This record gives sequence, C-alpha cells and structure tokens, in this order.
Amino acid sequence: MRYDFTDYVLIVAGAVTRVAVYALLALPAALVVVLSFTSGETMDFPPAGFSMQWYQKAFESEPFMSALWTSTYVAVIVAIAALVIGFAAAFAINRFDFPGKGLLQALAFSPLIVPAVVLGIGLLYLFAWMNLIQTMFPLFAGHLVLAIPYVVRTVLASLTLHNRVLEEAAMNLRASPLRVVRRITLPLILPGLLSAAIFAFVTSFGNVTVSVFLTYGGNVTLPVQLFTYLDHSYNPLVAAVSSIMIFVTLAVILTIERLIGAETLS
Amino acid sequence: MKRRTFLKLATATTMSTLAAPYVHAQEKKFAGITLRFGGWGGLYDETIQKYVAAPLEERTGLKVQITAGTQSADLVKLVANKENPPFDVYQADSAYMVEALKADLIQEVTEAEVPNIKRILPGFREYGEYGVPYSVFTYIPIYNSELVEQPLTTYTDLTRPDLEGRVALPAATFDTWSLYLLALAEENGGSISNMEPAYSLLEQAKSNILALAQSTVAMIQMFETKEASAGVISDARGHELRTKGHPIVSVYPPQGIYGATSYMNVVKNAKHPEAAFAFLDQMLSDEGMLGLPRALRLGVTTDVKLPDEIAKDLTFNTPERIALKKKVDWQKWMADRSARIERINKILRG
Repeated sequence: MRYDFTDYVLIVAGAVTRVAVYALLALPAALVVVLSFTSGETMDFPPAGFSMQWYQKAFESEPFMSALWTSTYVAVIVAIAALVIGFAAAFAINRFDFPGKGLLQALAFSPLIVPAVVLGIGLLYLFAWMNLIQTMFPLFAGHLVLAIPYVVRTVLASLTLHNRVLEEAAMNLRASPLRVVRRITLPLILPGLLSAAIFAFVTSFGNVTVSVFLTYGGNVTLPVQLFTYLDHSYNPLVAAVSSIMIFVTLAVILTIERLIGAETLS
Repeated sequence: MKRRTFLKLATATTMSTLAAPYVHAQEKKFAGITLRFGGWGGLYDETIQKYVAAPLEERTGLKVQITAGTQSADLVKLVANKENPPFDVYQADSAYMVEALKADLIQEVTEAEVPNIKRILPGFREYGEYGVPYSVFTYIPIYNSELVEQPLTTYTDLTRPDLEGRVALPAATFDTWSLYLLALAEENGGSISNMEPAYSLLEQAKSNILALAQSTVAMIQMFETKEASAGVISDARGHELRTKGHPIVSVYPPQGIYGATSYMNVVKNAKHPEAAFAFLDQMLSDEGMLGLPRALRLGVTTDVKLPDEIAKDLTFNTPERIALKKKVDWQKWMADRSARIERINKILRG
C-alpha cells in the first residue's frame, strides 16, 4: 500500500490527537495522585518530597472514612438496583411493541436532560411530600434515577447488537422464556451488563449535585464531604482523599475485568 | 462521737445520697438526646465538634450529629421540610440569614434561653433577636508584596493602572464575597442605594481583572501561582496563604472594612430546642468561641480574651479595628442581587 503526503499528515495528526486526548483524560487524575504523596503542606507541583502522611491523615479522619463507606455501599446497591431495573426496561423496549413505548424510552433517558441541581431539588421536594426525607431512601433513589439512563442505554445497545439466533434455537427446543433469558440472553450480553454496572457505580460514587440535597443524618457521601472540606481548607489531604476515590473506582473496574476478562468487557 | 455530731453527719449523708441522682440527672440532662446540626464540612466541623459538641456531651450527655453540607442546600432542605426539619441548628451567614428569615425557618433566641448572648459585641447581632452570631469574616484587599511595589491601602487601589491584568476578584454570584463592590461604591461617594461609582470604576479598570474566581480554591491558586498580584479574599484565607510562605499582605482600609457574620439558628419546629439553646450557649462560651480562631483564624463575636498569637492574625483584634467594621443593609444587598450580577456581567462582557 502506497502512502502519499496527505496520508502521512493524517496519520501524524491522528496520533497527535490521540495522545492529546488520552493525556487530557488521564493527566488530571495522575496529577492528583502525584500530589497526594507530597511531604509538603501545600499542593505545589512538583511535590516537595515523598510521604504517605496525607493518606495516614485521610484514613484517620472519621468524617472522610465514614463518608467513603456511605458512598461505597450506596454505589454498590445503586449499581445492582439500576442493573435490574435498567435491564428490564431495556429488554421491554428492545423486544416488545406496546402502547407508551416511546414514553418509557423518553422517561428512561429524561434524567440526562434535566440539570442535576434541578433534579436534586425536585427529588428533595418529592420525598419531603412523601415524608421520607429523613431516611437513606432519597439518596438511593436519587442516585438510581441518575444511573438508570446509563444502564438502559448500555444494555439496549448490547441487546440490539447481539445475535438472537441462539435465543430462537433455544425456544425451538422448548425452553421457557425465562430460561432463555437466564441461560442465553444474560450470558451473551454479560459484558454490556457489567459495563452498565460500572457506569452506574461510577455515576453514584462521584455524584455531588444531587447528593448534597438528599443526604441526611450524618450519612454524607465522600464527594459531598470533599466538596464542603474545600470550602474551608485546601491542602494535600484533598488530593489523598481524591486518590482514594480513584483507587476505589479502579478497584471496582479491575475486579470486574479480572472476573470476566478485558477482551470480553471491551 | 457526740450525739449532735452524729446527727449532723447522718443528715448530711442522707441528703447527699438523696440528692446525688438529682444532681447527676441535672448534669447529664440531655443524655439520650441527639442534636442535629447542619455543618459546613472539613476543619470547620471538626473544630465545632472539638470545642463545642465534645465538651457539651461530656457535661450534659448531649450527642451532636453533624451533617456536612452547604448553607444553600441546607436552606432548601429546611424550606422543603418546614414541619419536620432535618436539622435542629442551622448555620447561615449574614446573606443567607435574609433568606432564612424570609422563609420563616428560624426562631428568636433571647438571653433568657442562651445566657452568653449578653457577651456578644455591640453591633454584631444584625437581625435583632434572630440568629446567634458566633464568627465574623471579612473580605479585604490583599496583595503580593514581591509583585506590587506601591502598597495598597484601600479597596479602590485595586483599580490602579499599575495592576493591569493582575487583580483577581470573586464572581458576582458570591453574595458576601462581592461586598468589595459596596466598598468601591462607598469609598467613592456612593452607597448601597447608589452603586454607580463602583460600576464606573470597574468599567474603567476592567483591564485590571485577571479573572473572576468561581471558588476560593481557584482564588488561592491564582495567588499561589503568582498569576494574581492583588485581589479580594477573606482574612482567614489571606492568613492561610501567608502560612504557606507566600508574601501576602492584608489591607485594612481606613474608610471601613467589609465582611459578614456567621450565625447559628434554632430551627422552627426543631425536635430539641432546649438542647439547641445549650449548644448555642456553649458556642458563645470562651471554650467554644476560641475554636474557630485557633483552627481557621476566623474572628470572634464576643468579649472573649484572645491569646496574643491568635489576635495578631485577626482583622478585628482591637477596638479601633472593630470600629472600622462597616454595617451592611443585607436586606437591600440581597434584594439587589440579580440586578447587581446582571450589571457586573454586562460590564465585563462589554
């Protein structure tokens, strides 16, 4: 294959763009992680030296650790619930024609088009009206509302792309619809389901805007704790806590990757 | 032992035995009660926990549950749950007090309920019987002495031509932080009802503005990276920059210093108003009052005696400095908020 000058320019431009995009995506997080190991008292770059003191302080901080626990268990429960609800919705949208299908689809994606602040205030008033505000339920429900669109979109794409021949063969062999879903559909779209679960987890784990309205009774999430901390203090503890958030998210993704393999997930 | 001595001793022992449970009950009169406090997070909450909540718990058995949040989100939570509020004590600065009062969320607090109110300095209680002021913060001009040759002495100095492209100011959406605008107006013959002098000065000195900070962190970073040579920031943050080794000088303009006050409020329909009063009283005690100055160098609102090493870092550390504290008509300031933001945006876009 012959390359002319234009091809070379495009190849180089493509490579430069890729590097720039990857750098832009990874550098902020990498910078935060690097700063979290500073031995200095300020978030100066380059760091003054290497130290784990800010991690020690982060792990000793009761507000941060209880917030980390709250964020983690809320995100895990939300990911599981969003997966169940999102799969059901995506399956219905993909497989069946029924009155109101367009409305269901629009509703499933609507949280994406409503600004998160407005959604947070709306949910606050809704749960206040239901007299449920002084429980953990609004936080779960708020995060669930945010996560469902991502799950529906991802699962819907998996369902649309996967070949239905195996499902039809199973049904020809008299497998019940539930058995077909359980033994054929779910295993075939497993990578999509797990990607959706990761989306849901990350959406819930990193949310501030909705959480700040729905937390109650000391159950503050880590991003809200971090956000309020920044209002009065600005030191490498912020970088250490942010890095812990990054590590937790990475741990979730890597665990899933170890369970099913990166190739399958991609 | 004589009969009389024996009777005296026996009576005293009996009385003590009978009175002990009562005294103990008085000491731990809030045992089993949890007070819900809307916190502001981080070091702020840690300080209140250490100097207010912990001593109070030891003395009265009261547990304090601090939920970190923002005053705007907490206000919305209270408005949405008026009958069953999620907090017993709500914190608000001078600007948010206007909103809290408008929404009828807080109750009056008098000296009868919180005896330490009598120790509040004159002029620090801006809303009559509403709100207990516990901390004061100012927004003053600061400059980097290595980068600015001629020292600043007033808010108006921020518009000097030699500071072109080097001044960092807050976004107009910050209600208390943008008090520098009122300062610009009043230093130049204007008033809260006539902000034109401030606007025309800003228009003329538009090229001085490096950026309008959307957060305190962004503002601090501009000074840390030396992008900004001068600006307006809270006195506590100016001190923080100095402790990090930056040559930042705080300016105390002789015409007046602008700032706001933080208040604690007992929420209407609070579950435990008595416990909330005790909490407020502990906040105003010497022990409670010295916590925030120690940790964050925030100003005090009572006649508490400040240790010298803290006093030297505070804005209002002498009667003369306190006399410079400008009174702000917060109702008017907040009523003009939208128009002010619109005007600033128009000036800076133009």
